[in-house]
Amino acid sequence: MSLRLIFKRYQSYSLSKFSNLEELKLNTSDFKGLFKYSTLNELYFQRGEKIVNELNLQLIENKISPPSSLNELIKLTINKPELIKIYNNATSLQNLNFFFENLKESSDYSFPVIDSNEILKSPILEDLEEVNNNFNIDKDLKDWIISSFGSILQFKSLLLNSAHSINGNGITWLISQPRNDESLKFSSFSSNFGNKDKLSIVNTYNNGTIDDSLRSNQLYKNQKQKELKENLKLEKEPEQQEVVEEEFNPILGTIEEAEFQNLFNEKSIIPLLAIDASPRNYLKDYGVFGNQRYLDNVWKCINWDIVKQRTPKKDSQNFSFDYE
Amino acid sequence: MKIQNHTQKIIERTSSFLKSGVIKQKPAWYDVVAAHPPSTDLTKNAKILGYSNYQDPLETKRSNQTRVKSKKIDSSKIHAIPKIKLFEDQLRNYFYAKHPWEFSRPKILVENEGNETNKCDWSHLLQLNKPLDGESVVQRTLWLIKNEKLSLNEAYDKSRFEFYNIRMREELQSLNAKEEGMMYGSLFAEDNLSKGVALEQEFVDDWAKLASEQTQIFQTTRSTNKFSDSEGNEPSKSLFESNNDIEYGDKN
Repeated sequence: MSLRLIFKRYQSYSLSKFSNLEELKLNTSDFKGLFKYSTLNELYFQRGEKIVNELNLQLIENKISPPSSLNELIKLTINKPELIKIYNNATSLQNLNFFFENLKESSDYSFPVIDSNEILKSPILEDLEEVNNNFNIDKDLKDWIISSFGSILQFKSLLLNSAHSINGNGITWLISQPRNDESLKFSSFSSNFGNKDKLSIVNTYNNGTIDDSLRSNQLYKNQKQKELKENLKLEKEPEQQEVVEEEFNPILGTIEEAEFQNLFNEKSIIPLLAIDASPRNYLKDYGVFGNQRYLDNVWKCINWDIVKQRTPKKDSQNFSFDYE
Repeated sequence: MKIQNHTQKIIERTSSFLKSGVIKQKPAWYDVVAAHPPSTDLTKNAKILGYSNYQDPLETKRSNQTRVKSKKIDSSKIHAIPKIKLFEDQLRNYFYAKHPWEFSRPKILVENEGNETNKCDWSHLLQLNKPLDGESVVQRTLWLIKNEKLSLNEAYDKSRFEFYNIRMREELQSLNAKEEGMMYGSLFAEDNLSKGVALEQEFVDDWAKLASEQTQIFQTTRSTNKFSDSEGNEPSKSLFESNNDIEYGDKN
């Protein structure tokens, strides 16, 4: 037992090793279609190493025996402001791994010099059918995307526009959002369609993490705290005011209250795809005006097999209720 | 030579005679008349009184009149600017008819020099000097027709879809900029809509309180009515019916 504890204390985290990236590092060759070798080295290997070192240092400094997975560490530290450094490093390590895991090299690539005309350039109009036909991925995943977003083109433009709109550091995620809310449990048309998870797109900024079960009811709690503070202030004021406050007793709550209460009910969000839209990713190879070009290239370099692997299994998507 | 009775043209005629050589010497009065040309025609012409075949029957009556009636002239017609019909206007009308919400976007009408449009280069839809709006689509369509030799429909569709693409990007950008700002701790002032909802909420709360009281009364009266059914009283059916009973019951 004691041995285990000691072993746990000295456990540390490391950067994930992806075979394709390791090979590129050995040959010092470019990540075809997206990054030059120097950029890749800086973005993944050097930055990753720095984050890992900082994280392990912080863990030792704060005398925390780390749990086996990064996710659990994030869960432990998210509500503790004194451990923000650990939280920041843990999430950025997780996000970094997640982003580079879903990338693969693409065949056509070049790094042209992009000047200021790029921002005024008219968008290239794509044909709905053509994009749909050229998008060769697993059929189930493709159907799922189409049923959630309408078409592949709509999905693509929403994903890339979301990423494009990030000004600072941030990541655009494709997530699977379970639809197991209360309203569906008792609806008559539940069978197959009603229970299927929904795909959506969200942005996180800086070291945001996607697991929203962590921050369930956080907004509502904050509001309650604020109300408490205001009430404390009111108590100090003359009694007349207090009487009025007591009389004011709304029976119906506001819409916000209801939303906050039901927003994160029994929901666990599963990330499927991450696109890092931080400026550090495109500044070196594409220049100041290269944001759009970088994102277009990322679209070509997404490894949909990995995305498919990350999707929740079909059995878990469908669930049934016994009314006995 | 024909008898000349058009006094106002005398100088014109004489100079043309001089030029062509009909008159060799300049008449003595020439310079004086040239400096002060006759302002009114003083020749008296014979008036045709009576009916003539060559005359417009509508004018015959007037020809008998000896006094000139002052005609009223519609000054607004004189100064009215003639209607200018442009192809662009048709395009503009069509675009805004199909996209009526584009009108709701605020637009700056003040111009610095008046030639802002000259600075625009319509080989691309987005401009540095001008925000994206319906006018951009119109100008881009015209440019495409002229320079890329597209047909009207093709050009309009192309610029329209470019416009949609950029609009989508802009909208998401402003939405996410707000989200990003909030994540970094920005606070935004309350907008008019939420202010209105908050004001309304006060009355909704009052109503909720009143309604719950009324419902209680309604429920109790219904339960008592159930027992009094044997006496011939009908149970009240809705909240509003019982409401009436309570409000006007005292007056009767």
